[in-house]
Amino acid sequence: MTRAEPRRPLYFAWAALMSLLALTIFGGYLKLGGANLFISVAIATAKAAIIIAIFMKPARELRLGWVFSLGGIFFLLIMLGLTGADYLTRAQDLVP
Amino acid sequence: MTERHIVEKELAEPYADLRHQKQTANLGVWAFLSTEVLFFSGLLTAYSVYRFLYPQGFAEAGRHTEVLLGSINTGVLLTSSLFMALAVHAIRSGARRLMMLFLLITALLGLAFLGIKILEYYKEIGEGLLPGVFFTYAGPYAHTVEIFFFIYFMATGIHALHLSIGIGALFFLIWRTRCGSFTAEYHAGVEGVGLYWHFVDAVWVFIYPLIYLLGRNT
Repeated sequence: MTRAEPRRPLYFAWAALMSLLALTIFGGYLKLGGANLFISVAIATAKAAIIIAIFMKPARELRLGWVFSLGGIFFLLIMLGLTGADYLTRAQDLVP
Repeated sequence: MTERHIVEKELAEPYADLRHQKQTANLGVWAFLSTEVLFFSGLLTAYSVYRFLYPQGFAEAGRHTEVLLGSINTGVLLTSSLFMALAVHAIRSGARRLMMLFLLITALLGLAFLGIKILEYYKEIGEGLLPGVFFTYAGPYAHTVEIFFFIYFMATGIHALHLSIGIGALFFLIWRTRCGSFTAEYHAGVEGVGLYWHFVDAVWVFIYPLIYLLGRNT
């Protein structure tokens, strides 16, 4: 069962992650107002996607594993979405 | 080692074969990580709500975080994930000694991360930013800054706890390998710890910009 898989994708993934880190630091100092948050979260999502796609690849054989992991993210979005739907619509009343 | 030997050594009840056992272990880690997403999501939600309610105070607080140390630590953690992936790669082709070396480097990078984190905490506590009786920060946004640093210490502290558990798991894997466990044919334990390690890294990937890059654009 010995197989010689290339190691190169792992090094490329690391280089991409470090480049994205440099990019997010640079982006953090640009004066873009509200867009900074959007950019930094987008870059973080890209980094997480690289980690899942390449570093976690050997442990992603099962399709049910996808259901489990996406389930966690689904409920995270429900929590953020419903909490946001409340606070974002009545915050003006809370803050003088 | 023949296949029969590996089965005799590794197969536990109630599994019919090693493939079944490995897939169950893998799925167990994914289920655990799914609950971990929800565990961290409470903090993320609290952060989002307070950042939305008090944008100026949060921006001011964010400028008091140690951006250089935080950025170095992000690099350290991303590199540790590379070595964790290399360790799994090594055992898949049966290179047990190489895997132990990579696991050790991963653990040492984890310890370096914790060391830098402690240095950061030391500086912040010295500046009076630890919420509670030691909080001495003054200014128009002092209360909001305190809320931010409460979330900061909670989020990074819980993350550091996760990383400490991961480092312990890495040394456990090294010890188990020395005892003769893990082969190219069966190494579910290494893959499971690898998944956990990458997850803890991915959590930091989101914590980093939300904490350290906050308020740098003004």
